[in-house]
Amino acid sequence: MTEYLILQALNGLIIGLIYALMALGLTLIFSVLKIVNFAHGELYMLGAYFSYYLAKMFGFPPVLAVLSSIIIVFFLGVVIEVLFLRPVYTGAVERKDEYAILITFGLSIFLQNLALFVFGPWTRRSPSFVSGTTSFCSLSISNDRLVVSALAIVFMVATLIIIGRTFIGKGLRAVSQDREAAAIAGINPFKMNLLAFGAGSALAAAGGALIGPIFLIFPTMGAMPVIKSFVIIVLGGMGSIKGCIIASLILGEAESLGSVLFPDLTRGLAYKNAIGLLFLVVVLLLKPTGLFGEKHVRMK
Amino acid sequence: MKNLNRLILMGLLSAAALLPFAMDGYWLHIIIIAYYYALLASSWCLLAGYAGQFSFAHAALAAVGAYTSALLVLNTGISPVYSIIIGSFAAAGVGLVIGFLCLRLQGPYLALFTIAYSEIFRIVLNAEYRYTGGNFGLNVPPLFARESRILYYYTILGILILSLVVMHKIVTSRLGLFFRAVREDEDAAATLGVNVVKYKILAFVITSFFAGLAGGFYAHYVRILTPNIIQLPQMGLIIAMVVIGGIESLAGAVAGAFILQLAAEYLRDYEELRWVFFGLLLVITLRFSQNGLIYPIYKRLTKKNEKTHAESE
Amino acid sequence: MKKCFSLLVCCLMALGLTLPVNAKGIIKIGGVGPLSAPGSFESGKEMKMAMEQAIDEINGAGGVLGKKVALVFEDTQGLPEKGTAAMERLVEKHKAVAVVGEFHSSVAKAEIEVANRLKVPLIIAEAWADVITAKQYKYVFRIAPANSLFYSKIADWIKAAGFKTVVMITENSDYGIGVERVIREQLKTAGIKITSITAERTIQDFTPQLLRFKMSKPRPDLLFGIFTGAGELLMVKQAHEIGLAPTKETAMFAVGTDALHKEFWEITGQSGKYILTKTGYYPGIKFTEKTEPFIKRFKKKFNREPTFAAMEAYEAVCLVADAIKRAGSTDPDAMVTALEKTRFTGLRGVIRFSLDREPKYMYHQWPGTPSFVIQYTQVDQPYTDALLLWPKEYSHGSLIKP
Repeated sequence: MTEYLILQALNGLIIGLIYALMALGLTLIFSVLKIVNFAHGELYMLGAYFSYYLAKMFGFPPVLAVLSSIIIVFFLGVVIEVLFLRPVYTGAVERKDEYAILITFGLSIFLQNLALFVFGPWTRRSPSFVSGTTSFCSLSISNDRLVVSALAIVFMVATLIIIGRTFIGKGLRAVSQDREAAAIAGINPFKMNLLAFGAGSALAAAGGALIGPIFLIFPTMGAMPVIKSFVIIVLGGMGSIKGCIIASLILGEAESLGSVLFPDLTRGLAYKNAIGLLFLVVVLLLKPTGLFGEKHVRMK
Repeated sequence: MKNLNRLILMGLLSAAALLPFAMDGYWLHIIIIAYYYALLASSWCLLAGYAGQFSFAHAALAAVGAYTSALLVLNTGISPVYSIIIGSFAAAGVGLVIGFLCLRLQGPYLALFTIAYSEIFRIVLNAEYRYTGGNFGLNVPPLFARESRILYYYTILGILILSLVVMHKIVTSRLGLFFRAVREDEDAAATLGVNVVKYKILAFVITSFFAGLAGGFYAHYVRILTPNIIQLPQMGLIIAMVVIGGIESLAGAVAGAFILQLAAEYLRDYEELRWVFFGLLLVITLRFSQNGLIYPIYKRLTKKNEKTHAESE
Repeated sequence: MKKCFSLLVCCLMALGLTLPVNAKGIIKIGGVGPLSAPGSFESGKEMKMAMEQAIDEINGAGGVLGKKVALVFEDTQGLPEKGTAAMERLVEKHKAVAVVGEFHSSVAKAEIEVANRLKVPLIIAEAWADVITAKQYKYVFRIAPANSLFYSKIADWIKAAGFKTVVMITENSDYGIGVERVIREQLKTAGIKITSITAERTIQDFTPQLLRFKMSKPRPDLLFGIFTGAGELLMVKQAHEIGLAPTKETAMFAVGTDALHKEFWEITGQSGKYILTKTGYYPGIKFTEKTEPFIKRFKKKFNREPTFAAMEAYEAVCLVADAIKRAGSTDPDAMVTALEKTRFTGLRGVIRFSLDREPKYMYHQWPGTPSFVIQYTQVDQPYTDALLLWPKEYSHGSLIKP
C-alpha cells in the first residue's frame, strides 16, 4: 500500500510540475497587470499548434520549433496588450476589472474558433522530445513527461531569477506593487505591462508546445488547463510566483491521490476535475488571498 | 423623444403579437429561442450592468431551474406550470447562497468563483447520470399536452414581457439606484447608509429567479436537457448578447439577443466562422464602443429625428 | 468609428437576406451529424464526405425520378437540442424529403422525436443506443447496429477468449454509458469479475487509475476503454507508458471509432501495437460487389481509408434514393412502405429492415450489421490489415500477447 501511494504521489508530482508551467504565465500577468487573462488557454493552444506545424511542415527540430513558437506567441501577446489592454491603464475605460475580464474572454472565443477554422478539428501530436519510457522500481514514466517536468523546473527557476535578481525584474516588481510610485521613480509602467504580458503569453506557449506530445493538440485543448491555472493562482495567492509553484504541486497531488482515494471508486475519475474547483471555491471563501497572496489585490 | 420611444415600443409589441401569423413553424422556433435568450440576457444585464456583479454562473442558474423543474415533473408528476415556478425559486435560492458567499469577492475573484461553481455543477450533473440523465439527455415532458408552437410562443412572450416590466420597474426605482450606488463604489455607498450586503444579495436573488424561469421554460419546450447548457461558450453567448446590445440597457440586451440569435441562424452555412465573427464583434464592441452597438445607433437615429423635428418647427 | 459599426450591422443583415436559395426540381436529402465540438467532429466530417460521394454518384447515374438529388447537411454539434433544431430546419425550412446520418445517440434520441412528429423518414446511420429503434417509431430506421446487438457479440468474444478480470473505463456520455451497460450485464452472467469506472470526456490524465489497476491483485487481464476522441488516444498511450497494457498480463481493448482513423498512429505510435478494437467492416471478407469500388473512390477522393461510419452514411443516402425510386414519389408514407420492403445490396451485405417488435430494438433495424474484433500487430498498420480475431468463422488467429 505504501509503495502504491508513493507511486501515485510521484505521478502527482510530475503532473503538478506540468501544471506549474501552465499557471506561471497567468501569475506573471496578474502580478503586473492585475488582470486575469481568460484567453490564456488559447495562447497555450496556439503555442502547441505553432510548434507542431513548424516541426511538421518546415522540418524544424523539436527544440527549435518550441523556441520559435514561444517567440511568435510573445509578440502575439505584445500585440494583444497594445490593442486591447492598454486602455485599462490610460483611463479610457470605466470599469477596468470587468472590461479586462470580458475582453480577454471575448478573445478566447475568437481565437478558439479561429483555430478550429484554420487548423481543423483533428487531434494532433507533436513528435516526442525523447521517446520511450524510464522505469523507477515498478513505476514507468514516459520520457516526455520527465523532460517536461525538468523543463518546467528550469522555467520556474529562470522566472524566479529574472523577477528576483535582474534589473527588469526589479521594474516588474515595482510596477506590480505600485504603478504610480514606479512611474515617479522613472520606470515606464506601460513598457513593463508589455513585457509582462508578452512573457506571460510566451510561458503559456511554452506550456502548450511542451505538453503537445503528452496531452495532444486540438482547438479546445486550452479549456481544461486554463481552469486548472485559475485554481492554482487562487490557491497560491493571486500574483505570487512562489505560491503558484507550490499550489501547482498541491493540485497535482490532490488530483492523483484524490481520484484514487475517492470514497466511491467508480466515480473517482468522474469527479477528478471537480477537486481543484472545490479548492478554488473554498479558498476564495475562507482566505481570498490564497496561501501566499499578500493582500486582496484589485485594480484602482 | 418620449413619444417616439412609446411609438417604437407599441410597434414592436404589436409586431411580436402578430408574428405567429406571418411565419412558418421553423422561424417561430428560432424566435422562441431568441425570447429565451432575451430573458437570460436581460436578467444578466441587470446583474452585471446595473448591479456590477459580473457573474459567470447565469447559465448554470438557468440549468438549476431547468433540472429542478424537469426532475420534479418526472419524479412527482406535478404539472409543469407549478414545477417551473418551483424551479425558478430554487434558482433564486441558489442565487441567494452565491450572493451571500460572494459578498467579499469582486472583479476577477467573483468571475473565478462563479466559473468554478458552474463547472462543479456541470460535473455533478454528468457524473450522477443515473438521476440526471447526464449527457445521454433527460427527456422532459412538454409544457402543453397539445402540440402547438403558437401556444409556446405566446407563453414565452408573456413571460418575457412580464419579466421585462418587473426588471424595468426595479431599474427605475430606488432599488435600481441602490444597485448602481453599490456598483460604482461600495464603500461610498455604505457610508451613505446604503445596506450594501442586502442589495448585493438581492441583485443575485432577483436575477437568478429570472434565469431559473427561462431555464424551466426551455426544458419543457425543447424537451431534452443535457449538462451542455452550462458550458462556458453558452455563457459567452449571453455575455456577447448583452455587450453588443449595450451593457446598461435592458432593451439593448433584448435587442442583442435577437440580433445574435438571428445572425447565428442566417449565417449557419459559415459554421465555426460565425463564432470567429461573434468573438471579434464582442472584442471590438468592448474596445471601441462600450455602450454596445445598438444604443449608439438608436441614439443617432433619434437625434436626427429630433433635428428634423426642430427644423420643421 | 460609429459609422463603421452601423455599416457592419447592415452588412450582417444584408448577408442574411441573400442566403436562402430555393431551387426547383431538386430532391433534397437532409444530413445530420457533428461537425464541431463538443461533438465527435472527426467522425461527423467523415460521414459528410461519404454522403456527398453518394449524392454525386446518384446524380452521375441520372438522379432519382428524373430529378437531381442534393444534400443539405446540418451540424448537430453532439448536442441534443441542436439535433432537434437541425431536424426542424431540414424539414420545415429546406423541405428535405428524408433525413439520414447522426453519430451521437443522445442527439439521435432527440431527432427521432422530431421525425415522428413531422412525419419524415429518418435513417440513423451511426448511433447505437437501443432506445432509438426500441421506441418503434414508424418513420425511424437504423442501419447502425443496436448496442445490444453489437456488443453482445463483443462480449461473446471476451467470454470465449477466457478473460477473468475485466476493468472498464467509460466516458460518461450517452455513448459510453450505453456500451458499458450491455458489456457489464453480459459479462456478469458469465461470472467474470468487473470493475467499472466512469469519467468526464475531457479528462486528460488517466495515470492514477491505470496505476491502480496495475497494482491491484489480481491484476486485470483485460482493460476495456470505452472512450472516444482525444480521451481514447490518451488512454492507449498512458496505459502503455506505465506498463499496464497491452502487456503479457493485460490486454487492451479500445472501443471508440478513433482507433480506426489514420490519426490513431500519429498519436499513439508504439503504444498502438497489440491494441484490440472493433469494427463494422473488415476487408478480408468480401461483402458485396460494391465494396471494393466504393473504397477505391473514397480513398482517391479524400485520401483516407473509410471506416464503417462512412460506409453507413453512404448506404443511408443510397437507401433513401432507392426507396424514392421504388415508391415513385417522395410521399413520406409511401417511402416508409418502400423502406420496409428494402432489399438493397449495400457495402457490407444486403440491407433489409426487420419488422419484429421483440426484442424491442429490432423494429426497423438492420439485423445483419456485421461486427468484428481486430488486433493491431504492427505500428502504422491500417485497420484493414489488422488481425481478425472474431467472429470465429472468419478468424485468422487468436489474441497475440506482446
